[in-house]
Amino acid sequence: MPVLPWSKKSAEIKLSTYIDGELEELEATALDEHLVFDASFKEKREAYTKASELANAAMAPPQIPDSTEFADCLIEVIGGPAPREQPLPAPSRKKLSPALLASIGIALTAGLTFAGLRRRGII
Amino acid sequence: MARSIKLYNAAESERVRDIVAGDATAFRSLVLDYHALAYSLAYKTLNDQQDAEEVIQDAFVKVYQALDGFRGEASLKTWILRIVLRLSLNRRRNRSRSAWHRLGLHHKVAEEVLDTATEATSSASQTPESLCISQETRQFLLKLIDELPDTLREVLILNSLDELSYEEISHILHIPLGTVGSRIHAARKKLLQKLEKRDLL
Repeated sequence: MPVLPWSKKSAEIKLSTYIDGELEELEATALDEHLVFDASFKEKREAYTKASELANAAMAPPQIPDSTEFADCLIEVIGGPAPREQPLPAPSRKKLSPALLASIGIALTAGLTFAGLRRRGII
Repeated sequence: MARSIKLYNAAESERVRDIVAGDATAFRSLVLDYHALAYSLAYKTLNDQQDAEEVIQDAFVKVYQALDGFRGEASLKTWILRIVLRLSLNRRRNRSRSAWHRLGLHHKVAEEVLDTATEATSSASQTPESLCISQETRQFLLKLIDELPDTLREVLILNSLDELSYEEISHILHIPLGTVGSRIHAARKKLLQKLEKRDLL
């Protein structure tokens, strides 16, 4: 059986790199040859490949939104006369922040109180 | 054997110049080229459709605003994906602080979104690999991936994007090429151990 020129740990990292098609040609050839004879190494390659496939399948978005629609919408937003100044429209699910609502409330109350006091000639 | 990397080149340089000069068509073409990839990265980092859409909207606005400062030290692709990743990770961090996420309610919503998405008949395109595993296995796997240390999860997500080479991942994360390989391996090994425990292999 051809012996790999790496430590056990390095060989496993190389195996991962090999699975991703990122190993240099010479190293890939050495691994190819080793995989023919070493059943446990081959088993490991299959297990890593399977784990990757499962992870990729789990993470994959169920759908990709339409790119053309997204691009057109984005261009509309930034394509005005002063594109760099123009903010994006607020996402629909966002509401006015409680802090902003509280500030508006305080300002209104203060204004009404002031007007009332003035009308009564207190100030 | 290694996947080739598209480095910053004259064509990209011209494209950047056109966009900075206000050419909306050039910017539209840039968005069309990288939208799907950017969305996949954001979705995989956040596992939430709406969060991912908001993040890539912000990301492309940032790209537009920052293009005149783009120095061309990396390809446009890795530069854009770095912005997407940074914004996605910020969103993820902020989200994990919310009570909603601490109580794990997002997992329930994610399941409902996935159910709805499967039935959706919009103009969006279905990704073939997304339909191959059961909902239960998907949730279990997502939980495992979620539990990985940040450095391993990031590299695993980036490596799951077929269009990215190790070299491009190293540019996006600002880590040496060798570290990309060793982190991908470490992430796989951890996943494998947990999957074997659950007899999922």
